[in-house]
Amino acid sequence: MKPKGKATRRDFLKILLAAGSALTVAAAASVFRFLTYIPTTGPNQPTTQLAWPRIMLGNVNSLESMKPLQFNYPLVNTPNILVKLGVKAENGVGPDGDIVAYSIICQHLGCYFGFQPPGSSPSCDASFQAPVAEGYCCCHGGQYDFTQGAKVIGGPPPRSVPPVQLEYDAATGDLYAIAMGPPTIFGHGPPGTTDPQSVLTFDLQGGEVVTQDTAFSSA
Amino acid sequence: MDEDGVRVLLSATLVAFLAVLAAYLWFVDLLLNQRQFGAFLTAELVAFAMLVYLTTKPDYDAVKKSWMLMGCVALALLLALPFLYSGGLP
Amino acid sequence: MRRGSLSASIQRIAEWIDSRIGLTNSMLRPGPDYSLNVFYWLGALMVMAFILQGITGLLMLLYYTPTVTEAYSSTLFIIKYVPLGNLIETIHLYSAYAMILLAFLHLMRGYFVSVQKKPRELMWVVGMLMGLVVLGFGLTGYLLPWTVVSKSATDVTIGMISFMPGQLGPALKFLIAGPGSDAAELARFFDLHIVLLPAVFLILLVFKMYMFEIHGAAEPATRLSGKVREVPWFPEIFLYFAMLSAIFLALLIVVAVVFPISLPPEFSPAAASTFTPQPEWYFLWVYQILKFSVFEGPSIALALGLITALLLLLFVLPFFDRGKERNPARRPIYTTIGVIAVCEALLLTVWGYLTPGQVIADSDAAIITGGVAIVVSIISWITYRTRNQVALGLARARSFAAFMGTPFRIPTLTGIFVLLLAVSSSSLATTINLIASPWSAMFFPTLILAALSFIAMVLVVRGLAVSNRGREVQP
Repeated sequence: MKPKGKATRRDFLKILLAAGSALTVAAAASVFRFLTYIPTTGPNQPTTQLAWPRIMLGNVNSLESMKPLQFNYPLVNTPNILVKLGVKAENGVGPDGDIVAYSIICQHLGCYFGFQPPGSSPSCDASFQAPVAEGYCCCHGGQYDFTQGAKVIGGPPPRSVPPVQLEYDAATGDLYAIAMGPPTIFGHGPPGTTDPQSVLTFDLQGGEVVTQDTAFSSA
Repeated sequence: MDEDGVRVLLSATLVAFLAVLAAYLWFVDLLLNQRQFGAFLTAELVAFAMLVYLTTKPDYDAVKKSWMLMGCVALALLLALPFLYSGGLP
Repeated sequence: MRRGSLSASIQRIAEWIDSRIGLTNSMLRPGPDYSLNVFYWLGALMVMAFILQGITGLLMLLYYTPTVTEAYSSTLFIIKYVPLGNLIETIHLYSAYAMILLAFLHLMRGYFVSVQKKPRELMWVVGMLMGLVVLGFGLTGYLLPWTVVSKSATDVTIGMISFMPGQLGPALKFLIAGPGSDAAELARFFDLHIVLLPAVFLILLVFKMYMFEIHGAAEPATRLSGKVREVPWFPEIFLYFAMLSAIFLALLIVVAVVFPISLPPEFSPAAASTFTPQPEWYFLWVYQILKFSVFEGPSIALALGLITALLLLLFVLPFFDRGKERNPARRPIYTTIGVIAVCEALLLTVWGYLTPGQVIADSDAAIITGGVAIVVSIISWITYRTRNQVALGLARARSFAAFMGTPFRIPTLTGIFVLLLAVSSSSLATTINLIASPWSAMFFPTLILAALSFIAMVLVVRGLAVSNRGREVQP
């Protein structure tokens, strides 16, 4: 009994070794995942090309309070809205510090949401009244308070939507979109990425970078 | 449990460890977790070396326990290494 | 049993393949059991590193552009934006260092156990050529990221090469670096690095492996005990090397994880002017020699000639070292020269690192290099004399053990020795300090004191040994 048991154990050791070797080779081969990377900016372009586009959005005088202006930034397929809130808000620019812009791609599951002035009701839920100037997502009831940096005040979204960094030219009254703040736009890179270099890298991937002509087309 | 049984148990544990690590290496996000990838790949290689050493010695007494202990300490350090760094490489 | 038939069918497939390729008759033959020792596998680990370089290099080749305007940005792209890019680039660098380090270790091991004796002389020469190719890899690869550090260092090296005597210098410079423009230099270095040098390396490797198969692994230099056991290639030798490679790769990767690469700034003439160029660590010993003031100016050709002569000497070592003796214990002068060379190389490397751009005064150079040589020689002499007393039998071995205990039994002599040690070290240190400042009145007295106390120490040690010999009959 004992000799036979020993022989089977020895065989088992050999099988374990074979299995272990195969697994190690498979693990080492995972290095070749390097090859799955598809760069949107080619390696032959100097890395300084990986930069935020600068888009003129309009003039502050043509903006009506609580009337959102939809535009694409930084890619043609990433829409945002620009809104004059009438009250001083976090991230606000302009003479009154009340002009903000946020991505309208919900951080929950990627639905596009709309802007609801305070007191208004969204078309999908007539019984709901927006308590503040907010983005209301019809898919699952997510709410982003636009006066408080798009903080989540209701519904399932796990974090705020990214702001579009705005530049206000006091001499001409023109507003420019110059960058995206953290976190990354929904669907761009790991959810909740916040460091600026990664935000730059991920937000600019997965689509065509917007130009002045394509900023206002509806994709 | 007799000596060979101990060897089989240790080897089986190592193989299980190898399998888990190999699966993880194929799914970890590469851009953010390069250090983690490297540390775990190193752990995989160290576990493999330990497995070879353990299974090719003629009997249990020939296995120097000091080497096995050093290997286990190395594995523990390597698994802990990614937690000393946050995020990806600069 | 299911398990049995699986292994039987694997066996059948293996036999089918083997009968067609015949590897088990040539490369995969059984080997001697003494070859299951890490020192026999330093060369094989180098091949492992070479394969790793090839793989990481090919992966990076997908993104690297060898032009002056894009070399740096494409390298930066790999490191910052490509997943695993930083790890791959770092592994490529450290594996290059590992390969050069292994080359030195492999050379040292070969030297000290005298593998270059008959019939392995040509293996030695081919190995030296491969060593030069490896250094060439280091030189050419270092330029490719086009950073301010690497371009400046390479310019210095190219400049040195162009100082070779007569037409040799300019001709070599043209071959390696082209007509003179940066673009030509980068293009040629790139071609050398990914085409010519790998091809030459592989050809030399095949040649060396072929000779290795003919001659087999060198027997250990010390006498073998008992009969040599033959060990089958699979699984023993194969698995031993698999284990070594796994540990080698693991060490490489973990160092790459803990110390990831970060690129210095891009090369531009303006940036380069603020910066003292230093070659990579494996060339620092050459650099240091060239910084000795005796070699400044036109005499640089002298230095280059000296270094070339040393290398040539090493190349043709098998042809003038013709005795049969391989045991380093029986080759005191040969071994001592080797140890001196290793110590000098280490010393020059560290010293070169500490003194970037500074010209070294001749006196400093002579004293420090000469001092190391003398100290090593003396230690070697003492070791050989003691060891020879030991090697002559067990009684002598016991007396050697007794010898080690002597300081505690003859405290007076030991005390004198310690005192002399203190005196000689401090006077030697003072002497060296006095070199830096203008020659003062104290210089010669301290030098003589150092020398005398040193000789006295040697005599004391000898006296201890002699007095011990008289004790050998006691248990």
